[in-house]
Amino acid sequence: MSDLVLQNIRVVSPASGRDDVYDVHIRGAVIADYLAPKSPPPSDARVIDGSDCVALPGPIDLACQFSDPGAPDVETLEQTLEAAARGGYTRVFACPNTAPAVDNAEAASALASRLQTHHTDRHAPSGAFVTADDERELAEIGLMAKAGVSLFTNAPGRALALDVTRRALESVGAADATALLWGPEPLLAANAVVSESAVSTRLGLRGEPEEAEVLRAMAARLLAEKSRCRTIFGPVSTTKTADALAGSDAIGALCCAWSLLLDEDAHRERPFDVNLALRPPLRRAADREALIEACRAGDVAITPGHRPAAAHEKEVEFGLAKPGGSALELAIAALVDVDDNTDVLDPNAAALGLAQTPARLLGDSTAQLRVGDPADLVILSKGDGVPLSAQALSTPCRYSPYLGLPRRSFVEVTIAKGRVLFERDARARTSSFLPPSRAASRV
Amino acid sequence: MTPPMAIEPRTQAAPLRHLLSIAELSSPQLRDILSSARAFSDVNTRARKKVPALRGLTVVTFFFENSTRTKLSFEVAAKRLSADTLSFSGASSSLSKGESFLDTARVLESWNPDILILRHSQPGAAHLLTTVTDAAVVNAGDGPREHPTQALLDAFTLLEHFAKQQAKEQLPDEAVGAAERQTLAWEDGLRGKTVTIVGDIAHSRVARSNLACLTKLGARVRVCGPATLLPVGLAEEYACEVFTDVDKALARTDAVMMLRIQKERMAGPLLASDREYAALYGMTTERAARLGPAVPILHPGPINRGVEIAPDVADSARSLILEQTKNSVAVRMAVLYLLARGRGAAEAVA
Repeated sequence: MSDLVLQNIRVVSPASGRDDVYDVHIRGAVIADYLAPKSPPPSDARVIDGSDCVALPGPIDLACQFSDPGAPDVETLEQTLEAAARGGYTRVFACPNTAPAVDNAEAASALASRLQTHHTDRHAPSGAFVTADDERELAEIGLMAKAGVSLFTNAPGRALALDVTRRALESVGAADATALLWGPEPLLAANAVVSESAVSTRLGLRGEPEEAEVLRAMAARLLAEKSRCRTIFGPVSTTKTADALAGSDAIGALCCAWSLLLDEDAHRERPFDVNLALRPPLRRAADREALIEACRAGDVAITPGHRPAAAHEKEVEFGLAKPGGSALELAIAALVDVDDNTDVLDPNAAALGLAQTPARLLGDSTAQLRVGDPADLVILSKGDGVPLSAQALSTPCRYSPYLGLPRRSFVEVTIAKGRVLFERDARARTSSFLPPSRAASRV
Repeated sequence: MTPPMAIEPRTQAAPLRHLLSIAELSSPQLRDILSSARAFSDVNTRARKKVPALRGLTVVTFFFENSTRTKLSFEVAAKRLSADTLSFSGASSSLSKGESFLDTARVLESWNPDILILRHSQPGAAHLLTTVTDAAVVNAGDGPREHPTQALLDAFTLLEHFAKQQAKEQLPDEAVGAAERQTLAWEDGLRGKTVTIVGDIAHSRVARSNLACLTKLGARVRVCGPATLLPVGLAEEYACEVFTDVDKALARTDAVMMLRIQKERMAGPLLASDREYAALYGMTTERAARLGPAVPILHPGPINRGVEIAPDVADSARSLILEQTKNSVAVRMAVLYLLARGRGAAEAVA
């Protein structure tokens, strides 16, 4: 692989204290050097002009729902990976609720093979805590770990009894893997479609009390500390939940990007809009602001909350609509501003929330953009402020919580282990996803 | 016999496109409906209770939940306006074969109806229906969210009651034109009145619509019920007073609206027993006796006698329950007429 030079680009990596303009030399899969801006590049290197752009460590999605295997008509695995690349994600963990579910080593290996054949070796399946058939029967966590699974979860929402959760954490801890526990408390959240508040009362919709999430987070913290398992709790959508997890070395927090961008007032402005049928539900503005601060402080990781849905699952009554929508492609565009003065995520906060906090929670110290670290990066430019529309989506799912929000940034280039996975054509203002063979030839 | 009132817009209300919620009605539109209902009330007392206002138009009742009063009174209202009516019941439709709500709606739409009257268990269903039909849509109850025509007929019933009761307390001639005095006073009859709604507030679309409607008409509203049946944020959302002690809630009230306990919508442990509920929140004979002698009692029905209201209270002179059902036809005639007029399809009525 030829050298790649990102020329004259602002590189932001708070974990390694880096925030300046450089020429970044990438050799093979790793970052080889940082040189002064506009240094002469090697003659055989491919040069990408990074003027007015910012390079961040490659975003990691810890809880990405794939429809394939299982329902490729909703979105194929290849379409999900394309959406990830277009959206700037260099590393995604597939939730285990595919069909077949990833609850055994064979299923894990099969999905890993598909993920890595079609893209890079950075994407990986996560394993289930319990088998698909019986939520009280532990999955083969040990064997899956030996097959390379490093993250286990009940995401995106399979409710488990606390005794099963405890044993699952003990098993994950013994395998030196990471557990992602997904709330909320099912009995308090049963059938809820929005947050419990004056808004739910006005709309007549069943509301989820924030205590449903807080209770599960507190239980998760206690069990994580007892089991000594590296644990993440998500999705965090309220200040109280973030507070319940704060200060513990045993557990981290993960939130959905929409919890940082939208609050329940959106339901007043767009009542019964199925794009806002979300789990966790939209909370108060104060919760949104507190979570942004927690992300800036490096306390909370961010997932885009990708949950593709078919039209017949969304074009129904609001309370019956499948939660979520397409998120990988639009979350960063809506959430990250390349300017430092912003009410959403500035480059430093984005680097933490999208990449370095998730990596830390996984026990991975290589997402710091140091010389020798894997060259996983996303390059962003200033957005045009135009409301995001379904036309910006490449996948069949036309629903997204981020539709209508202003585009704060463009994903210009997505690079995983030195390979350009996506590059937006700035001249034509179009974009292209590069399958591995083409990507390799371009680099 | 009183001469028939002409149904003409008295205000500058915007044309009524749909009736989805009280919250979305402007005050002029609300007043327009109520004053029109007063005129249609007269039609219902004639020997021939029919006017040609909706001749040639098709009105469909599109009900996915059980209903007696609402469905029948809409059908009576439509027939008295000379509309062709069609009745759809979810239980006996292709929905039981797996057809979606919107696909069923599209089938109805293909027959080009003029007004669709929808009852559905899901909040927002009427909004969704407007996305696939050119017809005017009336929300006849969407889960616990809204039931606007019930609130309109409740307000109408109270206005009529207070108009009779307060005939001597009209505004002075210099405050308004003498010609308008009677009508304006009637419409302002709820201003400053205290109306107390008691019962299962959490599951009640009637409560939500009445909160919106009564406050728009200038009434002070109290709501009262067991803590488990009071949704969060009521006071801030509706500018009402919230009580869990019914006797405090009923003190110095001008009218009482009792609600049914909607067990069919309840999930989880919300109530101990009918006996406890009746004792703590029911309109017992003793509680009714402690109300002022002129305080009326309303109930949207159906009534659970002996639970939320004692049989002798339901049948007493202060009960306006049958007045509500009687007025329901006039109010729904007004709504259908104004929707048709909003589409430019109504014929003049005299």
